[in-house]
Amino acid sequence: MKKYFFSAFAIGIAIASVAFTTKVNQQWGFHGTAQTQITDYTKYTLNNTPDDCVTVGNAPCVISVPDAIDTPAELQSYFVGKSETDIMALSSQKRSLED
Amino acid sequence: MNGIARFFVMNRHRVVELISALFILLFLYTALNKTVYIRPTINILNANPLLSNYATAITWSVIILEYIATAILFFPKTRKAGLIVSLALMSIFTAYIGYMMIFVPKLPCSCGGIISKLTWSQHLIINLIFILLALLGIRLQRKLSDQPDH
Repeated sequence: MKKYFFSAFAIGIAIASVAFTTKVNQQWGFHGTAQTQITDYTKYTLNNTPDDCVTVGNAPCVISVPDAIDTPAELQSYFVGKSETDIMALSSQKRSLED
Repeated sequence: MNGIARFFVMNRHRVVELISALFILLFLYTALNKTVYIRPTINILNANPLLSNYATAITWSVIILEYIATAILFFPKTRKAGLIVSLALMSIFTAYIGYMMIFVPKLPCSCGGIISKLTWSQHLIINLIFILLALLGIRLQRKLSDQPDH
């Protein structure tokens, strides 16, 4: 039994980590050029980070959405009823754009 | 022989076990995560034009290989084979990261990935460390196999 101790311990840690880990979401990068495009789903690219992300700004950088949202059509549906402020809240980093 | 080398010689068995346990932790954690969050995992590969046509097949192949590696690392009798498989897998992952960093001008966001806090460079360094661990484990296991009671 001793010879399996470290391996069994590793298995336990791996399973516990996955069970209690933060849910993995889909990440959509915002590539719009104006603040008015924040709610335009066509300005977002899956798993793509813009070059000009900063800590403070007036537009989102990469928004984090549920993992089922991985097509433009699903993103469009997800945006229904959401304001610019709601979408900004989905992004920890920001971009600075003209209004 | 210096202190570190003497430690490895005296504790070969434990060191091999620890290295194997580290790989079990790494592969099982990433395989389980990829299995649970399969769609984000496939989408990250889809962002690569070279692999996008085979993203689903590659994703499931990697997951299955990681489960197999975990299983054969668990048992002492198959541990050497498990370390060789681990070395092969880590080499493939490292080659992929190296290829992406050199040939892809705009790297896709890995923030949907499993170890999401790491940059591509950090990922590369961690992979290289694990390759060295696999090589050490294989070498020590080989010496253990030469001993009559193993």
